[in-house]
Formats: sequence, C-alpha cells, structure tokens
Amino acid sequence: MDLEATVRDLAPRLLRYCKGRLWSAESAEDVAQSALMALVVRWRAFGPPDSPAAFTFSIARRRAWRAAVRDRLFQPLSTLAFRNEPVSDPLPEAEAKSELRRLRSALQKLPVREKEAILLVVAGELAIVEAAEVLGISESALKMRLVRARQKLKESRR
Amino acid sequence: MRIEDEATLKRALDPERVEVERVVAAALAARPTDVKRGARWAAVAVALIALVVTYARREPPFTEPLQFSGGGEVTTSVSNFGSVMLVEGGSGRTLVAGGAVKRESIGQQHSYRITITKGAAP
Repeated sequence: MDLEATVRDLAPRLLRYCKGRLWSAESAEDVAQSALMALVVRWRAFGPPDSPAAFTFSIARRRAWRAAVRDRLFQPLSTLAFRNEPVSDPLPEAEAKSELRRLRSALQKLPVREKEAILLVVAGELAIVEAAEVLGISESALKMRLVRARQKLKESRR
Repeated sequence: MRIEDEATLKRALDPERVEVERVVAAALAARPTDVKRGARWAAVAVALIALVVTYARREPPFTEPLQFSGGGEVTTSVSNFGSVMLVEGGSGRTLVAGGAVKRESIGQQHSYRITITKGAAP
C-alpha cells in the first residue's frame, strides 16, 4: 500500500463527504485536510491502519460534527463579514447552485443517521463494511438505514 | 433514489481539482506530532504544582515589629528568614535586622541569631 496513492484516492471522496455534511466549502476542506493529515501522521509513525478509508472517515466524521457546531455558532458573524469572492460565470453557477439546493433540501429532511449513511456510501464511496465500521453499527443496520434514506429521498422528489 | 440521482449527488458534491491538490499537498506535508510534548507539559505541570505547594507551606513572615527589652532577648513564636524590625520597649528605638538565623528550637519557642544592619544594638 502506497501512502501517496491512498491519500490521492481518499481526498476527493473525503471532500465530497465533508461537503455533504457541512455545506460549507471552507469547513469541508479543513475537515478533510485534518483527517488526511491524521492518516499521514499515523501511517508514518506506526504503519498503515487496517482500513485507511475507515480510519480517515471516522476522524472526518467526528471533526465534521465539531465543525458543524462551530459553523452554526459563528454563522451570524460570518454573514456580517465582508467577503471578496471571485466573480465567475453566473449561469452555470446558478444551475449548479439550484441543483445543489434541491439536493441539500432533500438531504436535510433526512434524519442525521440516514444522511450519514447515504453520504458515506454514495459521496464517500465507502464499502458497506467500511461504512458500518465508521458508524459503529452492523452491516445489516447500515443497509436498513440506506434503504430508508433512499426511500425518503425518492418520496421527496414526488 | 435512483442511480442517476446518486450520480447527481456525487457530481454536485465533486470538489474542484485545485481543492483536491491543496488537500493532498497539505496532508502529505504533515509532520509527525512531537511525542515529547506530553512529557514536557507533564514536567511543567509538576514544577508548577511543586511551586504552589512550596508557597502554601512556607512559614509566615515577620509581620509585626518585635518588641525587645534592654536585655536583648526577643521571644516570638514565628520563624522566618530575611529582615526583621526590632523596636526597643517604649522608647521607640528602631533597629533593622537582616539575616535572622534560627539557632535552636525548644518546643514552640525558637531562638534566632540576628544581625543588626541599621542602628546599634542596645
């Protein structure tokens, strides 16, 4: 197992998961980065963990919780702060935002446990075994959560 | 949720290439944590605790001027080191003594040999 290849493989998956959890690109990047750094430090000090993906996603999951709380606390301040954001083409951006908004509202209606499950498996591309390990539940429990989440998302589109 | 919806979800959350590169570069540049840091903090904590305990257990300082008679004997129940002010009877004569050294202790009574640094001994 090669560290750099593993990090390169995990980075986009982690970023997707964190974006789904946090909906703030900055916080998502921070969390993904710190989780990957923890993996790198662990790998160099003691060798690779049994499942690098499960290891990294477990850390990302915990830190995402903390970041979500922090974001919620500081949100009123950050909206007041003046921000210089780069100007880009408004049309594709608006389309992407609208799609993202639709997905966001559908996901937000899900219970947290089901949202976690679907994000780990779909956005994080974790195997059922790994996702179950990250959530600390059995594979069958995870499958049940996935079925329920998919069902609710399907209903929300009607 | 259909398969294309899951693909849409993934696509919507897809990070930009520059984001991925930034995260990968930062992660690979991570340095191992300092394993001695814990030991250093423990040593600092122990030193601080020792300092606080030493301070709390110190003997009370001479706060009152010591009255002494012409005989030159001072009786007190406190002990300390450092300077001490001696006041002779009611005459108001003040001597400043430094370097009080405990000579002997008998029960609660302690006797000191003190050096007069200001004024003259009676």
